[in-house]
Amino acid sequence: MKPSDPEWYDAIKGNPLQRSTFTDELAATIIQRAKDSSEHRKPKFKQVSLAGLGILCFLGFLLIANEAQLFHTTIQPDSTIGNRTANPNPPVERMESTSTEKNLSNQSWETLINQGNQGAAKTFIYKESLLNDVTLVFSKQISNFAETELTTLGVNMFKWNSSDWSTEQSATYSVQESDRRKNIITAWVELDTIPIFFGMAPNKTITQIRISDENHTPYEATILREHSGAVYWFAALPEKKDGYTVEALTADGTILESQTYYYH
Amino acid sequence: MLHESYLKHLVSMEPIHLEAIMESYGQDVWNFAYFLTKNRMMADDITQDVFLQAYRHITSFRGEASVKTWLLKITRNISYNYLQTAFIRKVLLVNKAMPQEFSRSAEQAFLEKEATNEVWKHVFRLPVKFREVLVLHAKYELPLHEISQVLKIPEGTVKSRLFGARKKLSLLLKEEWINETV
Repeated sequence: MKPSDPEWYDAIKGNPLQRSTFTDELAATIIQRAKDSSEHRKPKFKQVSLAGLGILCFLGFLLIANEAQLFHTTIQPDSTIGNRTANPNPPVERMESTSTEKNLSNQSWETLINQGNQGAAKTFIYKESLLNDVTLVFSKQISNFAETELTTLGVNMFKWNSSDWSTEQSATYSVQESDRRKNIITAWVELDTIPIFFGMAPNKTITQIRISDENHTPYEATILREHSGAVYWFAALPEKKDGYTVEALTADGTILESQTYYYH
Repeated sequence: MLHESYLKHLVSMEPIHLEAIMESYGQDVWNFAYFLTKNRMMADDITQDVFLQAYRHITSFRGEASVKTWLLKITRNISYNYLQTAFIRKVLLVNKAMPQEFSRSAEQAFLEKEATNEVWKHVFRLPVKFREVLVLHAKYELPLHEISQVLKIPEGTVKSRLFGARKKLSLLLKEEWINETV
């Protein structure tokens, strides 16, 4: 205690309550939840080792399927205005994918995001160009392990380096089974200072996703509807702010979900 | 205990790192969530969210401030998020099941019984903007510039709030002392 501090300062140095409230049980719950999220987050190589030959066969099938373009999916954007936003568990990868053409078709982007990919094939969903020299590619990856289908959403950031596109950073978000009961699944990440929000909308009545920063500046996410009925959304924001509120709205303007996320 | 310089270079955290951080700061985080919300259940939920957030976003820790300050900042953000959104829903649910005042008085009774000393009881009677600045300075012993980061207010505002909080608490304690001696 400094001489200038009030004499009662010492009385509030310790715990406010007589009992310990951060219990072993609470700690165990947190560890379990962290482990559960890790299982979904970075399972590829661990699960390959567990599933052994069966998975290798599956990967072989994927390679053949990819050649035959069985997994090519056409997605219709609801809007092309979109921009800006987020993800909670971003294992950042660095890759060496390159392309010497600047204007690429969606199929070419899909090829690029799959270069060096050891897991299930990634399917192109959407791309967004920023400042002409940066392109964000939004994709999904469906894996099947132990009769469970695992969807992983991903964003790759490509930069044009005078003669080719190369991947600088990427981030993925594994959709959990419990997520599918939500109105909206939201992931957020920051790639090279660009805040990015993306996800899915299990509730099909959602027609608009609005993201507002702490100054209440609104941005509209691009909504992408797959022929299968799955709805994805994506937004890259112009600058990093401390907090963003993501709102999911129906056609009549009803806000079904509103959640605030913070970049720390 | 994990060294902070090690943490700031981590790209992803393993459960063993999380255990080490929780061992060092678990009670601090829970306490701060409780200081802000005065609700044990909410403090439990917030504490879970804080450590999961830290686990998933270890890359956001870059060592500019201490791990404790980083965790307290996350705690405050999530607590305010709860107070603004989840709290409203919970109160609505509480209202269905029992009167809101009952819930509040149950927490107050718990505090009266479990508080370590009389000063803490008075701390919890302060408005939240005084409460948070006071505990960050007195209990957590953060320097003013780090309190400014956690609260997202200028350092000058921290000083004036701290002055106000100390004055208010000194008055409350003085009143109690007078009442006891009469």
